[in-house]
Amino acid sequence: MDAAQVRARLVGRVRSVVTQGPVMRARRLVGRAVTPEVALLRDELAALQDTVARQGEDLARLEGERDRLAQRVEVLDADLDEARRLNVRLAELTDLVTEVVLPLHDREIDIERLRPHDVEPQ
Amino acid sequence: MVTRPVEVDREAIRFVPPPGRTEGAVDVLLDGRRVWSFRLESVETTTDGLRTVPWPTAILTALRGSAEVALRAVADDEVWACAEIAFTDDPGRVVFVDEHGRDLVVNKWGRAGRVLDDHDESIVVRLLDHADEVRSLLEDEFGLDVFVTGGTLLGPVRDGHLIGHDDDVDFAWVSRHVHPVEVAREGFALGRALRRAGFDVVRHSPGHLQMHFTYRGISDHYVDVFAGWFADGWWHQVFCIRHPADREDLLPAVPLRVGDREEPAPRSPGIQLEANYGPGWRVPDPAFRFDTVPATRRRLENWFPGLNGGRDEWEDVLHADRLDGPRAGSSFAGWVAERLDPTVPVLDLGCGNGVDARGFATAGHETLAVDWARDAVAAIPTTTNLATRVLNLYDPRTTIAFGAEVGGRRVPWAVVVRRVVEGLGPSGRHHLFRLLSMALRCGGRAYLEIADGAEPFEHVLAEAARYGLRPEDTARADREAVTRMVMAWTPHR
Repeated sequence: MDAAQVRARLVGRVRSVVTQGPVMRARRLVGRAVTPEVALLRDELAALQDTVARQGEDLARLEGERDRLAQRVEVLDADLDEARRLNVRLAELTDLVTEVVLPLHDREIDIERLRPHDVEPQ
Repeated sequence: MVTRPVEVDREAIRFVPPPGRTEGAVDVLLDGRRVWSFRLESVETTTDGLRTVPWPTAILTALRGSAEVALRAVADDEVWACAEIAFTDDPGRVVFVDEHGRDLVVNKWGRAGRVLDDHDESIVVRLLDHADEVRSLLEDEFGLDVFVTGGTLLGPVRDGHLIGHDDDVDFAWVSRHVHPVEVAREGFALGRALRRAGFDVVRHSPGHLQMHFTYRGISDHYVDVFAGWFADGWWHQVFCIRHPADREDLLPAVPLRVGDREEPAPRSPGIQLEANYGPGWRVPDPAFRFDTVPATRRRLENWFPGLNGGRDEWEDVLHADRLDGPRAGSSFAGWVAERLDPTVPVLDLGCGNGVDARGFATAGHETLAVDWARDAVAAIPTTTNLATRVLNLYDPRTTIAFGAEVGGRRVPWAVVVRRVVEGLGPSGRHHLFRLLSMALRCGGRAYLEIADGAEPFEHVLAEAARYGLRPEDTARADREAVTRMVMAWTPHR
């Protein structure tokens, strides 16, 4: 028997074992047990993909929200600084009025230009 | 470059710290004298494994000749490296001194300054004597609680003495007010009271006053006074403290030994020191730099904005100019002189070293030379027809009061404003234009020279127009890259 014949016989035996023997029986048994699980897993995978997609959208939305809030914080910080600067402005103007304007006014009061006190709502 | 345990040139110091050393303050010594300190952790490591720390700008011009350069750890005085370095071919040793020959160091602001360590002990006595005079005024005239703060608290709490690398005495006054507006107003009143009492006062902010003292005719030391107040469970102190504390945490003040005398200190100094220097305040750190948290910095900077940004640098420029020797008047002064009636008084705003102002005075104009550089103004030689004045255009109160004074003279001032507008921030420009509008009420003219490249010219004109100032004549001097103009004031309709 030459090598080609030996190879052909071996292939034939292996094929018979795979298609008709214990391997095939084992495959059928596993197939019956696993097939429902595969379907289940496929469903779960699809659901997970949906969830990931939704969370990706949520993430993008939250990132946008975060950026908007960061910008808003910058604006509020600047507004706060501006409001705080009014403190010193008020102190400076009050000081000017008491130290410069009123003393100057005292020296040169034009009584005609002063409003009568009863003009001001009480 | 000299290859030694420490490699030094005029740009940087390159060294390898001892094994295991990764942080801490390091002194730099030139011929055995400390001139500067840095933090090891703030120094970058280059690809060759060396730590490389650039020299601070303030000392660069002094690095001429040779010196023994040493690095010394502050924590244990261990000298890490030492080498004889020739910075330049100049003969002699490196000398880092002021114009009076007094030793200088690079201070915590990155500027050249003097420290107590480099003086004989008599300076401490003079300093504390003057500090007590300042404190007495605040206590007696205003009934304020005052205590030592900053380095003047830190050193004595550690060992009963002022810190050798410090240069002043710091006090905080504890305001009874709770609102920053009232605290700032109190600061204005204190400044006036100190001036009335004869002190030489520099206002750094509405809540920070600095009293300067001379000795034998030259500047010697200064005393700082900072505003502090309690509000809503927080202790605030200009310019870096906002810390949870109530009045009874810090008051009544307790006596603290400072050299040969006692000074009032906060009742719980640990609270104040932690608020000022952080939890590591017990460890000496000559390389200390303020790193105030943004929430505190932004509050204090906006409630009590600094009035002197760039002032020291301008003084440095003018000082260097004076060292260079006499200068001729500017071409702008000639341009102005061609347009002046010989009888008008001249107000030179931003006169610098007063060269142009002296020229106007010598030509017969009654001249008032004004600048915010105190030393430069003080150094202007006495000249017939010339008076001088220090004015800070960032302080609207003093600027407007000055405007009322010059406006009240009811004369047609020629106001010379050379290279000032472009150097001012927005508030300074507005105060300048307000001042011009007051000075020009009686028909005078302002002569401005503005360098190219700063604020867009249209913006400047628009700002000036808001105060009734309009250009009558404009000229370009391309060679000097400036615009010159004559402005007049007209009342708003």
